Amino acid sequence: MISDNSERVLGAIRGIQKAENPGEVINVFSPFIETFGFSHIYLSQLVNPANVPPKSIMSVSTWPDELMMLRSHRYDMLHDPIALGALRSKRPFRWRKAMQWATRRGLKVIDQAREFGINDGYMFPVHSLESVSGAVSLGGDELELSPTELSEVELVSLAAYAQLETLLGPFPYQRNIDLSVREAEVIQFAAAGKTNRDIATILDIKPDTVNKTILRAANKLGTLNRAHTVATAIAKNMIFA
Amino acid sequence: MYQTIKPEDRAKHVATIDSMHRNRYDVCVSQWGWDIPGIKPGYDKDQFDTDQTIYITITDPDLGRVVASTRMNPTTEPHMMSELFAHYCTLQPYPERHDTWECSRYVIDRTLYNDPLKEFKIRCSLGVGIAQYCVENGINQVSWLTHQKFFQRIQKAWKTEPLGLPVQETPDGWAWVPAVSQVDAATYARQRDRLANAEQVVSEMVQMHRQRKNPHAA
Repeated sequence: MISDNSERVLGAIRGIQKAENPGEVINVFSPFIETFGFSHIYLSQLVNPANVPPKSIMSVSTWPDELMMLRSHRYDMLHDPIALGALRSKRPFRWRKAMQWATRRGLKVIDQAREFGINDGYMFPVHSLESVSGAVSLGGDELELSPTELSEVELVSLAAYAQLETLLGPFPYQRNIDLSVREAEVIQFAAAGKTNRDIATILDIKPDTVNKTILRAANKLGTLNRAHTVATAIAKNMIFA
Repeated sequence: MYQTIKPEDRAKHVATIDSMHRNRYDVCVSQWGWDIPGIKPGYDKDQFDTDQTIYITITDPDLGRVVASTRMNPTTEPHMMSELFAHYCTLQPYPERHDTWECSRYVIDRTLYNDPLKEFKIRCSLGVGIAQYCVENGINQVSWLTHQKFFQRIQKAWKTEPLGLPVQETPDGWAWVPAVSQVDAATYARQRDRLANAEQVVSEMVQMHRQRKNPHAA
């Protein structure tokens, strides 16, 4: 059976897909979510802040400027229990569910939002095939959504995220030079303590090729020696620790 | 490279079709844990493998068997959305039109490939195969029941609308979204470009994936 709200949901999605700039996306998205009691949007890619400067990721917000200033530190995401919750969740969740992951600093993050009248909210994780790619966090004062309403807001949030990523991307970190599969493979074995001869045997290549591959990876990473290359590759999450 | 098998050509591709049904069972039942009623053990062939079904298959030359496939059915005949998932379509009725075909069983055996580039090329090739068949046969829309991860992917690559709200019925906690996507010459060209630029696209995806991994480690 077609739901009563279907025209409104589809109308919002079609409007967002037609938007030609981020402002137009927000101009359609905001009035839609307001009817559910939401007043603020925070939409962002979720990436490791240790590797990517905040300016290099997609982040679109209608949060108060003063609140954004309080949360401008690069590592704030690591303490935001709602962002951490999105990394662990398959489906949308209410902010209060994320309190279980809050550290003392995380609780402060929540309190800061409350000071601006954003007392409640829902988080909508955005998944790609491999991992959580981002999230749409919607805040308000007092919220109570039915499961159907939650799904309606989810679909429109996903459409807004997809359109903004298309309009604003690709992002600088997406264009970084990457290690090739072979380079990552060789460094992975080096991290496991294997010698060049061991790696050559495992991969059925010449020891000299192993050496050249490590040098090529070191050149890309700007590292000075084998240990430095392994440590940097681990720190940048290019290989498994 | 993909192979499009039309009903009139099936006699020439008996072994490929047989291999495809076995591969579908391996992936859908053995790996994903689907319970598909009415199929034989080891062989996924159900009531939607009809006389009109179009198959797009990819055979690994080294393995000598099908490793990925999908099927398309006309929506003017009974299809999965009309027979099994009509109640999922809560936003708009599922299309039943000559220019709309349903795509289902988009299956890739990911356990065979550690190389993300190879896997991407296979996945993308299936998409190219769908788009090519549609463009060459006057099909303007594809309907599908998509996993929520796949829904977000096609929403970016193809102009896509949901047919219903996300439905979470499986114990794994993921939701499924019935959807319809527009297909035209531009879709086909975009999909071919993605395949042609696979190295760059995968490099970006791998980079993004690595950047997202384990923020607690910072």
